[in-house]
Amino acid sequence: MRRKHLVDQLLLTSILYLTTLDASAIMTIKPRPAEPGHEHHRGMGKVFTLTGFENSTIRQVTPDLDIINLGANQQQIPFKSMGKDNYHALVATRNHNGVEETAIRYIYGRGKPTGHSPKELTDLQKSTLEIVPDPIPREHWHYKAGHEAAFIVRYKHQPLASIAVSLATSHASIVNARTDARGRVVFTVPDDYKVDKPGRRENKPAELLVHVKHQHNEKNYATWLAADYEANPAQWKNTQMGALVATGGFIFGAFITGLGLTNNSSKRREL
Amino acid sequence: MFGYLNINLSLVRKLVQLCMFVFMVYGSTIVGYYAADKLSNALPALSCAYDTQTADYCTLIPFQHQMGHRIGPVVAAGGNILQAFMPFFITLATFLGLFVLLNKAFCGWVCPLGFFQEVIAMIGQKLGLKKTESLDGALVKRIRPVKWLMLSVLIFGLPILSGIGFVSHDLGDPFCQICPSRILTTLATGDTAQLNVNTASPVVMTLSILADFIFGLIIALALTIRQPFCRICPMLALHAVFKKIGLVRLVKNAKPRCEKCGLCARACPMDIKEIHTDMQHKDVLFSDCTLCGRCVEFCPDKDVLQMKYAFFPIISADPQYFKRRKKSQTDWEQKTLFGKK
Ligand code: SF4
Ligand code: SF4
Repeated sequence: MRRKHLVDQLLLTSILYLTTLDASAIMTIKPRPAEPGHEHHRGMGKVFTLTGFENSTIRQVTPDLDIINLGANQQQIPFKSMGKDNYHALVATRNHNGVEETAIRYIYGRGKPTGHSPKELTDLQKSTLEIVPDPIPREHWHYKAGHEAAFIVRYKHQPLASIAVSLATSHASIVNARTDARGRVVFTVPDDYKVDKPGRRENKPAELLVHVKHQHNEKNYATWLAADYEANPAQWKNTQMGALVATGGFIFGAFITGLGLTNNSSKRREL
Repeated sequence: MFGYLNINLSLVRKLVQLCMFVFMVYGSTIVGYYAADKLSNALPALSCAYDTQTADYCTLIPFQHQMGHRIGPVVAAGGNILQAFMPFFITLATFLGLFVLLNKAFCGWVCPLGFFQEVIAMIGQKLGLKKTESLDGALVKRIRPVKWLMLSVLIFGLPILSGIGFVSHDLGDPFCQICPSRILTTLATGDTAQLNVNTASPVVMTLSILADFIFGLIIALALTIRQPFCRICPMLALHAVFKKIGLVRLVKNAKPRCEKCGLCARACPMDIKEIHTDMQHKDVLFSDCTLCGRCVEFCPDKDVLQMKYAFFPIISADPQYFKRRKKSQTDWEQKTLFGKK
């Protein structure tokens, strides 16, 4: 398990190295794989790993927008929902080689509803340069391979138009795109892995990392948004077959009503 | 009221249904995208949570999840049962808070699937297909218990058993997996993903095939039979449990002439014969009623049938209204795409 995690990490690092040509500047927040025999249970906190943790400070923003300082220079970030249901944001920031860097991950935590929409969390400015999911997958949903994922890039809380954005995956895919005039960019998440067993419950999600860098008044900024994505459900869900079965249902229905299993079918209904 | 104002109630209802369909299916642009933004997450109508653009979620999805994820596991492993039931009570209270306001009119006026079946029936009529007057009484009697079975088995029974671990996890939300509204409302937003055969497991595959088949079947049946799915809908049964507390009422002041008439029962899309035959009760809101109001419209006798909001009549049977309404219905029925009948 640990080895697989290491391989994933190296793969992602090498991909990003190719795209950014500065591997040391990568910051990403990933779930720490569970130790064998210590699987995650309900109520237990989750632990995340921060790549590029040196000189960093870490905050957690709760669904009701409380900000909690989680410490500094930590590779392992413990996450607790504190009984607050819905998305929380983990935000790591540092100044590294003259670049202001941020890593963000939105994490679903369980608890009591706070009455706050995740939109309040995405609307909140969490770093100078920020990639914001537009939207985050709805509660209990996930990004999916082969499906669209949209983001807005903001600098000082204003949309950043026409800036290059990359999306890399732990399955060695990279896609590049540019934001539009509203700072929005839409990617199709690469459909880059096949599952052995069909069904979403049977398969662990993979990781994606969206990255952007920006220079303003000779100051450099870089930010990474990490999230998980699931295998393309088209691998086990067949829409053509579905349409065929529905047609079968329609024909069957036409057949039984045509047979007149109902009363008074010869009389036209007047009311 | 409608009688005096020269308004066709069915037309008003169709307009309300159309607005509600648009709002329920695409309303996220107004209310917001996330579950936390939705109106109640416990709507007493089949407005589907799988629709990314929905304005609200039907209450059946949280009920199934609470049985499967909260109550079932606590029943199996022990723990604080009251705490496990808490989310269920909150959803039920939200559902009831809404339900009191409109009662079973959530079916006849709000539900996207109810409206869809009526639209298909109009298409059938305009195509000149021969409509079934009313289903055979014996058949109606046999169909009626199915909705209770759907409610007890698919909304509560199987999800709780899956939470306990007696049956597969894939049976945690069995009604959603066969629900025609899931396919309808997602297709309405251009998303074809819910119409599928899912090979993830034999259970899931069976349910997905059943869902697709039922969806096609309902379209074919709705062309000539009124409200085919409503008759077995678990929401109809859930409404029936609480119909006494709703503010919208259906009231009958039976007169001897009723015995020979029966126009109300013929107008009823749910084939509730009792609306005609019951001469005893004032409260004639039966379990299968969707409060569409057609029986009141087609009652030719002054104030015999009334739809009331608490104590105030909203629509009362009226001979003048009846005459106008019957004529407009005859005109409508005669016009088909292939000329006058
Ligand atoms: S699938 Fe049906 S029962 Fe489930 S949420 Fe959608 S409308 Fe409700
Ligand atoms: S009975 Fe019909 S109208 Fe009522 S919730 Fe079910 S499908 Fe909708």
